[in-house]
Amino acid sequence: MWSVGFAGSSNMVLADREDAAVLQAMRSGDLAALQVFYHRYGEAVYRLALRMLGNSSEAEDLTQEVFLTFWRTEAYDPARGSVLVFLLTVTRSRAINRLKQVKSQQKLLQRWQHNRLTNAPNIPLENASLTELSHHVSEALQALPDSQRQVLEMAYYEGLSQSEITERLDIPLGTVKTRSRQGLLKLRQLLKGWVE
Amino acid sequence: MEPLEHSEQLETLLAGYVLGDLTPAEAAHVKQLLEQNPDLLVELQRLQSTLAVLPLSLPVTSPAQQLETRILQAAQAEASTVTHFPTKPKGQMRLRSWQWGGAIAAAMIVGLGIETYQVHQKLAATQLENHRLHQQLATTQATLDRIRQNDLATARQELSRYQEAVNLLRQPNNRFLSLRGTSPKLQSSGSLVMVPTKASAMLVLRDVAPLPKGKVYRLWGFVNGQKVSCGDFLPNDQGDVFLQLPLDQWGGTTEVVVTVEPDRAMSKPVGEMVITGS
Repeated sequence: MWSVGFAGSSNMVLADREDAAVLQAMRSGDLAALQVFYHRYGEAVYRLALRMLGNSSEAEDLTQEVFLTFWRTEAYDPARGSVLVFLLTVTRSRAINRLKQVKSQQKLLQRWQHNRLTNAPNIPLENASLTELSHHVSEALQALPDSQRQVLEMAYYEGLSQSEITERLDIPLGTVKTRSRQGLLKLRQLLKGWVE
Repeated sequence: MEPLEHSEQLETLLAGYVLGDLTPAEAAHVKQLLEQNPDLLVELQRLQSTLAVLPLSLPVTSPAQQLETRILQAAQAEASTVTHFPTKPKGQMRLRSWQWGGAIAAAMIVGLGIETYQVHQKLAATQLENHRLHQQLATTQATLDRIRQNDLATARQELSRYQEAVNLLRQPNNRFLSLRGTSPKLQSSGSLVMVPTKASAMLVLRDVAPLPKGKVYRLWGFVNGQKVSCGDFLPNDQGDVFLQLPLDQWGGTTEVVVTVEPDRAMSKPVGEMVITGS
């Protein structure tokens, strides 16, 4: 079985290490490190892929694609944020690509990658268990007014632009912008200490 | 002047930037502010991370267990075929290069990575298919060769028999006996060619009826008024007989008969006479 092949002693040690150390191992070609990342974030990636693509087969396919990209390339830079945030960002952009079959993910990645030289430690996000963090995100989102949550979710999961949301909801563009920005800023306040 | 970091307007602009809803002019303005004030990047990153973890509010849904195995297998397969990107030294130059063009290049690298992976997958599948087709082709060729060889061997045997027959017919002093069925119901006809110089005889018949199992046709010659057995035969599927027989003591016979006999040696005919020849 694969678990025997990959979950060797190095894996046991790696599983207790921080993302940075696991990343270093992965970049030296240690497959066990990829397995550790999958155990940490595979479910979150799949959760998002399933929500956006709507079927388990495509969601699994995308999850595989995201992790293989993570394994193969050095697109992720720890200086720009946590592994989880990177994986979710890539998952979302690729899901949007699949949904629309147009417009590359460059803009999304660009936004992500513009964020250079911050050296933000991201310790709260890394150390929080996914379950715990999920709980806080759910609570924070529930605390938003419905109108703000709605536009944020439409933009996030369906990859709709502000003007597309305007058409869909039949409300002015300014209102859409205001709602989504305020919603994001409020989430930011509510998750302070959890997402850095 | 109020510090930029605490400006409500700036926060809204950053949120708009993260959400991608700024006008080109606003976006350019934000970029400029970010370049001038690295601290703003921290806040920008917090907003990006906040937006990125939004899906954690979704219900927990685990993928199939096999997915982990699939991913690790695929990664391992790649590790053996694709060279891992070498770790680049970190430094100011590199970080600077990541500004704008670098970001696009990085996105392209991600894209190219997937392309490479897909091409590898396709190549592997094609090679497998190719291998399978080669195996099929080899099997088919082997079968054809075998059939060809078998056919050739059969054809050579046939040719050899006919060549021998023609050779016999060319011999001097040959004698021919004409053979016919004994009744209108027995339509068989043919010839017996006796070739004394080769101590051989050739029996050619057509329209010979098939026999039940355990029965044979037996050709009888006459030596000193006594019937002697010259040989047994059966027709082929088309009712033809083409048979070469040793011509020994019955070489002088002027008359032959064919009877249907049990498939065992007998000194005298007991069965029905079906063909006569003279």
